[in-house]
Amino acid sequence: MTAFDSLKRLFGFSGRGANGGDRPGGVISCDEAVARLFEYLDGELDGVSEEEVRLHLDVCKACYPRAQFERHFLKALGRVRRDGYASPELKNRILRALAEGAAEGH
Amino acid sequence: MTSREPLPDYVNQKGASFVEEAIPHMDAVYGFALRLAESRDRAEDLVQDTYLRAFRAWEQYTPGTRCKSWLFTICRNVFLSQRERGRRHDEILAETAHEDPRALSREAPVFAASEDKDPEGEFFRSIVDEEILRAIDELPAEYRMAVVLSDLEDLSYKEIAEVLGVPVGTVKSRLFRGRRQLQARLCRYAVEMGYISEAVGDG
Repeated sequence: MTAFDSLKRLFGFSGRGANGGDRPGGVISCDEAVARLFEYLDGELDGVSEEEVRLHLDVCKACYPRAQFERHFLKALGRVRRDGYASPELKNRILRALAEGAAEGH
Repeated sequence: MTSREPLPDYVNQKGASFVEEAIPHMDAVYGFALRLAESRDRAEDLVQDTYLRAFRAWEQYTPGTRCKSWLFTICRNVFLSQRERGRRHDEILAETAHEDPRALSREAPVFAASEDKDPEGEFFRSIVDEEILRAIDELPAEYRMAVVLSDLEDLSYKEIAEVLGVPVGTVKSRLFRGRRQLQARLCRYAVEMGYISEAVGDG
């Protein structure tokens, strides 16, 4: 993409709710950007689709806080990702049970 | 890396590959089981049942696929079969095939309600881990599994779909609904704790 294309994208954009549909030239509406927001944050979008959301969030005053809101939320969830570890006792118990199972010819 | 568990002599070739590939995921399986079961004891039993069942089915595991996902699948199945036996069906969700995950992504009542006070959701930082875990544990099991596998275990939508045995679209809608419920609950808590000044937690 040339710098001119980038600028066209930037200035082709207007604020929230002005247009519900896709715009020409790969610039997407707020509606479209928030519809893809979770998929974007989850790394589930492909190259073009991801880039469209990224560009939108870079320039949109309405959608940027919304993305930040979801990021803070997901980060809070990520904090609890390891609430506990399988204890050595549990590991040993399971290995013993497996060994017994193996010895019985499973 | 943790040191590898010593192999007892009588464990055969099958046991060796199982120990090599499946055992290292025990912390992750335990983490998943903790969110499914009601106590640590039950979670431990669930992990043990999962591993015994996985070992019996080890020939069905395809080498090269993600062993962790495969173990999660078994863990989920064991959990559901035990739950069916022990409990009435109180968590059947009104899921419709035609619901659009993108529409769910668009709706953001908590964001809309807190927009004036805390537009970027800074309040999420103040919430203690225990409260986040409690909120997750209160989700309906189907939503909880999707949220835990995605946001705590970092599985992709496709992997979650395989674990849960549902289409990717269903994963998205469960995940998004679960997240919205969590946000509503965490926001109510934030209001109670005074992290947000207005009563915005009604979303």
